[in-house]
Amino acid sequence: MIKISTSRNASRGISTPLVIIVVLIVIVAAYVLISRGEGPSAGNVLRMIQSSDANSLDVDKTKMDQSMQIIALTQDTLMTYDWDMNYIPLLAENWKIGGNGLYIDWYLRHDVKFHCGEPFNAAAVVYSIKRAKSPWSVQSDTVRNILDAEVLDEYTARIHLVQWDRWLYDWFAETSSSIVCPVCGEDPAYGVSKFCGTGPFKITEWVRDTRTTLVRNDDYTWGPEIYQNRGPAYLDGITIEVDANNLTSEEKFFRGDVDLMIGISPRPALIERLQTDPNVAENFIYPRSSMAWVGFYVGTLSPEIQSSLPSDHGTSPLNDDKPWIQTDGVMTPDNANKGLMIRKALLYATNMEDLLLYAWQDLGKIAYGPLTSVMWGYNNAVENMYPYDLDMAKSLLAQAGYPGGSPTNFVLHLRFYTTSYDPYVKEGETLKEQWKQIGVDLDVQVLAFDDIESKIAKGDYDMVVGGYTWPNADMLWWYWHTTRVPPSPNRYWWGNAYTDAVIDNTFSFSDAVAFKAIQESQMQIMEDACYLPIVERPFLMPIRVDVKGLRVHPMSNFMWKQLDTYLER
Amino acid sequence: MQFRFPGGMYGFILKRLLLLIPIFFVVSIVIFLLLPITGDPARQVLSGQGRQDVTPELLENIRHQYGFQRPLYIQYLRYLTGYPPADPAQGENALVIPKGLLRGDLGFSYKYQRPVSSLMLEALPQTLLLTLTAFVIALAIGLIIGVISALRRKTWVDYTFMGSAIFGVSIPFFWQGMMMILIFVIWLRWFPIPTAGEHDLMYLILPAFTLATHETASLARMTRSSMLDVLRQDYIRTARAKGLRERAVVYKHALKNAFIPIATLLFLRLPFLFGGTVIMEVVFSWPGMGRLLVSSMGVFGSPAKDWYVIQGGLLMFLILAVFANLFADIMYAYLNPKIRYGEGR
Repeated sequence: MIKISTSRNASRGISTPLVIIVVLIVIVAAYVLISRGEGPSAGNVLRMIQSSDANSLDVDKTKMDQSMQIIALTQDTLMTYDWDMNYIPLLAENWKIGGNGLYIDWYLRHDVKFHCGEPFNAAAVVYSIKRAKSPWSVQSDTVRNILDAEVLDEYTARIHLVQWDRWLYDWFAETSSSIVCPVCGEDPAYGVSKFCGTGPFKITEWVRDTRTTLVRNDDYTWGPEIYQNRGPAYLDGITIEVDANNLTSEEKFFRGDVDLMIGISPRPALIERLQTDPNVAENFIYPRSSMAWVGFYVGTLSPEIQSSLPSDHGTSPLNDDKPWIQTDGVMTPDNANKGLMIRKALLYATNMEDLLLYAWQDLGKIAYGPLTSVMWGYNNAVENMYPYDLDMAKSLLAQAGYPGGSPTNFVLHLRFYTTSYDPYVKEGETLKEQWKQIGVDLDVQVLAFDDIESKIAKGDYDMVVGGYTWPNADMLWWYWHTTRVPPSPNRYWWGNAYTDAVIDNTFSFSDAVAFKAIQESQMQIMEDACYLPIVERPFLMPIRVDVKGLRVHPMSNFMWKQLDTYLER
Repeated sequence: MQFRFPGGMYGFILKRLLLLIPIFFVVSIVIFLLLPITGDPARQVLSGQGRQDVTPELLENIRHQYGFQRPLYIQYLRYLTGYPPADPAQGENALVIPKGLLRGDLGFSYKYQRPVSSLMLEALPQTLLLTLTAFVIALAIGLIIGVISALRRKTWVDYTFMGSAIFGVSIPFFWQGMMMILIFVIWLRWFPIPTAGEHDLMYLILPAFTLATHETASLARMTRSSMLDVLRQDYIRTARAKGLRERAVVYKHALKNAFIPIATLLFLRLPFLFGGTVIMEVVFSWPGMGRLLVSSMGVFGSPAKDWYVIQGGLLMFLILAVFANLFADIMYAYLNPKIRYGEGR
């Protein structure tokens, strides 16, 4: 019973404010309890969640993973990969390489059209190639060996090459080479609020850092042969929600508000929960051609580049100061090189099993060289180059002028720069503990990505974290060729003319020549101890049990079409 | 002919608005300089596109596209006025060159590939909704708690409320937000999981209450203190002696006079409320300016900073803070007849 006092004694009289508070709380609570209900109705729409959003949906303006996965669902390439990374047709029914690799003729499907209704034909292919070659395009470097493209007839396009480039040939199977509609591609809003493609899904809405909504393309019947269903997709649509907060995104997944999580960090508590939750599909870890590594500041072996560096460019104890030497026709690093000895010592002092366990929760596979083990040309000889050997490590350090190192006697102090990505930070912490055993003190610093790039540009670092996801040995040229001098993506300031020539041979039209060159360059890179490969990173993608038919390609979500996927609710 | 400011409130407002002009220029210079002093802007544009294959030629191309090759003072002039316009002969891209702050153009977002002003127009109403809701909550609950504490001075009610108030001003925003989610969303399931893009009442309650916590606590303490001062006054004793009901004494006489300093505090705290939205919007995925600002700092994926958005966001918050302060002064004068701006003796 509410008593409203009329007494003049204030301390006893007034309870109305209290009443108001109580009433307000009751109203809100009632509203909450009444309104609380199930999550959004799912229907036959696949609901995905990830921690960050795409930055553009124009294939010529981005290389971000988050963008590529959406583009893969909404656009198509001329060819694609099967489950074993062999080329198979997609928009092109067939193709022919001619002129000793100086042109490629593409014979196109006749039954394809863009989402806007425009027909897909040779003119669209030529348009896409010219667009990719534009100075502003992010593809311009990748397609540098494309000379021109021309229409031979309505459904035949010829692409002329400056020289044979086997990695460019690979590019035609990658999502980056998706064909752009010649009409919609000219719209200034293309990729931002205007979307088009030939893919199994169409974008109906993109709210930045919030949500992307896709609906099925009912006209789609040209899916690649790796799918049992060639189209249209079974799903009515897909939504991709963005939530940077792990607490809420994981809760949405476990409650069933979303069906699939992408881009999650391998945290022990989360892995355990995924493994024990009966609503989560058993297999959520997939192999991927992706690697995490630590790059050393090697300095450069090329006099030309050395002379071009500014006078205030930094140095590091890890810097090389001697070129390679030739012995019996074989080029090897000069073993008197102190920088080389220190780098080798660090490699010998690294316990890879422990590093994998503590930094990556034992997920993935130990990496031994610059390429992942699934890449064509992988040289497994790199796996035995640096076994864990503390005595060897100490001996090399002593030879380099740093004798007597131990956990209580630091003889060398090095800087380790990392972003805030948890596994990378743990890499630093684990290496710090391991290298302490040989008297190396590691200063692990967490910096913003741009700050790290700036330090690399100035040579103001000793080592930095890194990672890549790459389909093929083309990355040898991107990451290791002297012309790719830093800060991106060669983060080592390393290169020499001899290895450049070997890497150049990896482009050869002859598979045998290219294969041999790929194998040799891996050995040279590891012989010079340019960097510390750590793990072939797995792709973690938890899926709820009511999602059926989803199979993850070795290139992970960059390649998926979701044609066989359906929901059993 | 000598110019004289009009008297009274209008003159006061006019003077304050004119003061905005030099403040605006100084702040615009500071905000503009944030970009070049924190790194190579061309590299940040490319990084925002997810590109790691950066070459010197590409950097140069981007520099010319965005006009970064121009001297800094020209870049600032362009940022402010839009002049000189983009020069295609120098490789400058008219789409991304600023058209001038004074013409309402806040620049072009590298990340979103849209004018910054359009992003702000979408986000600003959400921030205003969150802030004003928190403001109303703080006012309602803070006043009520403060009045009750004053009336029940030195009782368990007073100690409980004031103890809670001290706790309320002490806890960090971010932690409190996460705790609210943990308790009310994850454990109790009373509220839906914060989801970007959802902004109906159910998604607004938790962030608004969290944002209001500090201000509610401050307001409650201020109200209690102010009420105690007023209740001790002779005119209150007189009102009681006249036989007025206690409710009338408290609300018509005491609270009305106690409210003057409370109102000043409350409206002066508005800029802090706006600032608090940055954290709240990130924690609760509320689609406002704060979230947009943090997103542009490379938190949600793209590692690069989207500088025009950051500059635009900072300017917006500045403008909101300045107008909030002005509004506080106006309300103070309105509530307190003894205060008259611009009138001297």
